[in-house]
Amino acid sequence: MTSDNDMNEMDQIEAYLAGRLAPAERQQVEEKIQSDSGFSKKVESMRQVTQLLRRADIQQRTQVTLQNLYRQRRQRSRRLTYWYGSGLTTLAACLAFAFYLAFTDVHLPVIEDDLLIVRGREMEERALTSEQSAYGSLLAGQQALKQGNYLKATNYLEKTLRFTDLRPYYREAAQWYLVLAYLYSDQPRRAEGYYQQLQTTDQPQYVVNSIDRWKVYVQIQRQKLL
Amino acid sequence: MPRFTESEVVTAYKTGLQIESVTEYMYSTYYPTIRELCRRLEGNVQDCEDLFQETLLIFIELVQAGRYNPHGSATLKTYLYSIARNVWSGRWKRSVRQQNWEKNFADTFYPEQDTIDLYINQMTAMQMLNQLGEPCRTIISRYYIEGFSLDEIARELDLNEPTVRQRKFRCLKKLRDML
Repeated sequence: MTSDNDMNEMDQIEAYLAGRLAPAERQQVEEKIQSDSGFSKKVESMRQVTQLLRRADIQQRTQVTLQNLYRQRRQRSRRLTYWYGSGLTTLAACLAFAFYLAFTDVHLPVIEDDLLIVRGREMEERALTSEQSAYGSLLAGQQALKQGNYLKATNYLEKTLRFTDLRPYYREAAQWYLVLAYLYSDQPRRAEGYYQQLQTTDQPQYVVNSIDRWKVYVQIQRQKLL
Repeated sequence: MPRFTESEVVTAYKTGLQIESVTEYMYSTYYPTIRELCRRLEGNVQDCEDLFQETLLIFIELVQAGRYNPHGSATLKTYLYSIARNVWSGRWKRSVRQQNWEKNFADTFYPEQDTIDLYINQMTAMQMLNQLGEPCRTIISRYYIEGFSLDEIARELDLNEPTVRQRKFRCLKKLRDML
């Protein structure tokens, strides 16, 4: 069991080392240090403990500061990783989309099966298969495009467009097919001419979806660049 | 962030003043060197952080003991590097291969070795305090480091004041015995 005397003595040593004693009491302690070697040892060991605690205090504050700095660095690093990750993902998505636009086939809508390709009620008398009729040359152009015969396709489609009374739906369809025919036959400037005409059309009848329009635009630009 | 001379760093770690600013400066200035060493020794991020922390705590021990001379031949960077290398091999017992670039400053590196060796295998003050175990560690830290009164500690530990006083006395004795 710890005696009160021991504890009081320790409190006194602590107060002495901390400089909290009154001058008279301080002198008493100093005299005791001189005369009592046991007491002197206790003071010395308490002084060492005080120094150790002081070092521990400095080290603890240093450690806390370092831990905060490490945490801040980790947070910064996580934020950077997040932004780099997001940036790279977005970039990859953009590249994939650009690749898709630049290299995949354009799908134009199916041309409505309507014999009244020219204005008015005048039925096309010539047979549908006749390449002399507007509808016939449009179909022949479309067919040639499918077969990869782009020169033939452009001939038929240009011919279709020469019919002055062509209904807007078929005129636009022929122009779109012509854009593709010129594009696939490495004539991007001609393709671009028709494309720009189509872009300025008010209330288009032959509606091509936005993705296919973008594909055409991107592929024209790609060919122009190359 | 303020910059500190080597003498100012030593003064701060001796007196306990401006510890936070000096530690930030030490981290921004010397952590890259220690991290570089740590990576060459194939340590991971956690190893590098622990290595720098331990290096700094040992450096504080050396400064407090008056063993580091800011006007001596070794620069602070070399000194910290030397401590870190010794912590890695001496304290953590992990393998070290001499780096080519170490040869460039071997003359300033090795004279400090003996002093550093003395402290590598000793516990730092903080480790000794932790070694005390609970509730001694809490009582001693609260009373002597954080400046709590015995009454406040008693309330925190759900004890009465005389008991805390008695425990503090016993804990101090334990700490003196460890010294």
